[in-house]
Amino acid sequence: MKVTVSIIKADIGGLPGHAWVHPKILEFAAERLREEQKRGLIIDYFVYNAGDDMSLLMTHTKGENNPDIHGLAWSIFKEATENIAKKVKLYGAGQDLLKDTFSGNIRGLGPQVAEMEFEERPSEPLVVFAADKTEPGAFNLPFYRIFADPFNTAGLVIDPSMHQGFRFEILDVYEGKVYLLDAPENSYDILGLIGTPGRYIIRRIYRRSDLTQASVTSVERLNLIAGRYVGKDDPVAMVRAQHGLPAVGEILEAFAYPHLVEGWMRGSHVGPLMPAKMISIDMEKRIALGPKMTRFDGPPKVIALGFQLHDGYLEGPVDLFDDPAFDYSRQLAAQITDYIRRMGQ
Amino acid sequence: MPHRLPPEEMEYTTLPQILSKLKPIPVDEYEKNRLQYIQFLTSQASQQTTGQTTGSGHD
Repeated sequence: MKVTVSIIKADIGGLPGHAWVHPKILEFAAERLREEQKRGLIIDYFVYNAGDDMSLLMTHTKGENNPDIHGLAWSIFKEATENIAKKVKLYGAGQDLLKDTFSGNIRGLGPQVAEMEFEERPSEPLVVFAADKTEPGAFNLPFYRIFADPFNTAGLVIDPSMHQGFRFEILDVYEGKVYLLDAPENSYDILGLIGTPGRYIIRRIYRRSDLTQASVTSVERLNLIAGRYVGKDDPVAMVRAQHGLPAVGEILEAFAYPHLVEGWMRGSHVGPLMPAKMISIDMEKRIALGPKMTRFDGPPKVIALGFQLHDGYLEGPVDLFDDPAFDYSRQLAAQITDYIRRMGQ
Repeated sequence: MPHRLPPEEMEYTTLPQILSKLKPIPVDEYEKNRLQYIQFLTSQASQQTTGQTTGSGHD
């Protein structure tokens, strides 16, 4: 069965400031998606947040860039802005909705989009990521580690399906150009580009042995769309796992090191990317409440939810950074935060 | 060109020379024919391993 997984994310107002999403907005979105599931537009859904960004995770069979799916997300963001965010005067109500009208595709209108269409395998583990107070290039280093660094991903050495390596699709968001480069033999070229994460973003990654798509990252740059600073781009991403792709643990391992990313307060600083736990998961309502962004509006945080897909249905999620083994990473990120803040940076 | 500092502010870099050989594809064209581009690269890579062409896999 060919299934499409779509993540569409927007910041439509913070509670308070840029700290968190109002839980009523998550509930509103989940209720709207439940209606569309009943109508048959989508197979399944889940709604969650990282800081002040709400992500709509949807599964369907309509392919990428489908006007009905994008239109659904746009109408949810618009309605939640008008009915909740503006009514209770959330901070920056509707800030990511840069245009007034929807014309068939949500790309270029402000929200972040990560979509992948694939043939569902006999077992299909999926890890979805959302990061707040940073930019899409924040995933460059961990995704390189996952798919090109054998010291992170032992499977690159020992799994015959992965041994040939992965193909990286890197987007130059300033020039609108795509580079296709193969790891391991083009590793230095890949690093030459992705070391400038504000411009070169790893968008998709393919397994070279059969061109199976393994990951996708959102690449929309708000300031390039709007022509002015309108908030950081707070990316979303997803990675397929296991059975000839990196194991779930190899995917998460790359986030154990809280590397420095651009963003944080007013999108104008550099801070450590902290792997954060969710606050709560409501399986019945299909909602997860994510972390708040408080210290200096941060530090930048990333969350990871794990699902098993079955016939397009999302079994789960599991809060994948809710593991004591990540406590040290969080502690290290807190120490780096303290160190940087003492310089006023 | 990728940079953390503008090239004129860097004491020394040969990165532009390294990257000048890369051949990017305009994104609109790429998105329209994504699968073909990826498969084309694969066929080039397999030719390379059999010694029929020279140069890097992305050329």
